[in-house]
Amino acid sequence: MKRSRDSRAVVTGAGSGIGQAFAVELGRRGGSVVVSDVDMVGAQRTVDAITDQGGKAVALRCDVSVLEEVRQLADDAQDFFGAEPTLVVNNAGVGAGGQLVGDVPIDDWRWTLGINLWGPIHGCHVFAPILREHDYGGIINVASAASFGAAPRMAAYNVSKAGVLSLSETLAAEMAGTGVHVSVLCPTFVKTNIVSNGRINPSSTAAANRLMRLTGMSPAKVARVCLDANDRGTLHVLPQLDAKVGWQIKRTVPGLYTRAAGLLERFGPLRDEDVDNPELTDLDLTRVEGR
Amino acid sequence: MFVPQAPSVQARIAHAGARLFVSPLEHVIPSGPLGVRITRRVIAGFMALVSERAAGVEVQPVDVQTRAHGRIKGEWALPEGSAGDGVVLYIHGSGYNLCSVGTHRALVTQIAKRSGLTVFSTEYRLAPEHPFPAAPDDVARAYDWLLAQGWSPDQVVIAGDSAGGHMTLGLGVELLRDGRELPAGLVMLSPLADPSCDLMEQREQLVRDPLISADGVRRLFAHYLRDTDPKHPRLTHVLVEGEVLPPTLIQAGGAEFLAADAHHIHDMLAAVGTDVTLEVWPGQLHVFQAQPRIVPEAHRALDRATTFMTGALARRRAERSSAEVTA
Repeated sequence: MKRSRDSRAVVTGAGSGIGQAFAVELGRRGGSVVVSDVDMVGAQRTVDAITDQGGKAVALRCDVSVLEEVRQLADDAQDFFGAEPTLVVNNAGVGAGGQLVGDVPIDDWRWTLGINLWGPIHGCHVFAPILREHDYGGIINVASAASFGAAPRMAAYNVSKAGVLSLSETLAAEMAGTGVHVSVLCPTFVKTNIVSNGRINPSSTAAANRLMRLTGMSPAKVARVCLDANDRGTLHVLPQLDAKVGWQIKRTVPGLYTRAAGLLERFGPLRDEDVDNPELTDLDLTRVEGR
Repeated sequence: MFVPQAPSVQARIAHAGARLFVSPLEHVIPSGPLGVRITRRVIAGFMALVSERAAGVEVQPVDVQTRAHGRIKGEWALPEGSAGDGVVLYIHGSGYNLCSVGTHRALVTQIAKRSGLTVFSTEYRLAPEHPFPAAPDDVARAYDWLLAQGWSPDQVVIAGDSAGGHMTLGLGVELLRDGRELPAGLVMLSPLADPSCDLMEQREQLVRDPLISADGVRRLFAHYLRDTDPKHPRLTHVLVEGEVLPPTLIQAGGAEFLAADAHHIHDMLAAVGTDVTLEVWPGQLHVFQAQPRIVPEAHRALDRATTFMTGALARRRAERSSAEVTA
């Protein structure tokens, strides 16, 4: 049975971007959806889009970096569904980047890891036992190509996403033989309105929009591909070609890959003076968040 | 009668048909004034195909030059056996560039027939020939002219679709801020709230309208806005605490580009304490009430809208008579 059909789904960070796309797609596939976010305006917008299609959804506020709030989310979700959830998408995440290790303030590390890594840990800690007990369902953790990409100046983000990748792989092994499918999504650039709504000057916006149009995939497409993959029981979901290529190179020649990343950092398009330029740093952030 | 949970088969077919056959037109028709003229023809043809004029409603054209209100142009729709205790000012949709009382004649006769109320469907000047604020100025004059015909505000319901819904809200806000007596009710079908098209664009990323893109609408609105900031207070209406409008019904289609705008108006009115109801009809397209030949939901939605109109008028009448008794 396809887990994404007629699901009882909890999606974190569903007030915008990929999370929003997951929630709307699950609604379209007949599911009841708990739309969780810290941004309740965005969350309500997602709920409206689902209920306008005749679907069932509710917006619940949850800061995934706080275990108690995730526990509460699970309780409220069970109340809303009147049954246990069957699909959990740990998507909530933040983008951070632009500085070298040593320059990144420790608080930024804690903040990034708190949401991007502890969020999915809390999500799996709370929801995995529920799904295991009912021996049915799906868990989708949204990581990033950064989880294996090790791109310079994105240490905190990379580490958080690498943790999510490892968490998902471990969980998948633990869930083997049960009815619970675990997937980890590793996208690169995804077309969102982050660029057009960001604080970027017009020429950079045009350039970034061009880049996203050329290389980016729509959040809706990413969500569809990922849900289909989870239905099939696929663990690693890399919907885009550039992520697939990077993934293969990294696994085949990890040392060479890292040297190439270092060369790109030194001689690539984003040099120090550019990174100090706030407009380009924002652009870089956007690309990091990219989803 | 209730708002259904899922669209009818006909509505699903209409959705697919629009996406396949009508949507590509946007890429063929140029965006300049010539494109507007072509689009006017296309839409007039479309409206004639999908709408259905009600029997037993007499239509009388109006084109008068008045000293107090200037030139007033429009149409009366007079249903047989009307009790004559209420009137609807209907403001047709246009994207501020297209359509006329002619394209919306069938819809207006349906409203007259189903409510038993007299309807005045007003014409207003359109872009690209006449940019903002020609349209809301004309609509305000039409309202004042209607009152001069002997109707009192509590006998009036203002209704409109799309850009007409936008102006319904605008006229309500202007009457409120001028301290005038308010009409008995407002009805907005698929109303526009945000002429900057930002809400539309956000919505598009979640649910794509098979007919109309935010980009296309933005190009159309450019003729109307010219150099005016879309955040102009007569274009983006922001209500503050204590600004309570008369009872309001909003209907929108779940699959259309203005669904987020409908939610926005509902949330804003509800926040200031207006008695407002929002109905989003799943799977429906823009102003589906005008498409009864395609979707069976059209007449059911109109029945709900006209029941709301007569109810709002009756409530206002009851309030007034009880106030008179107390006095």
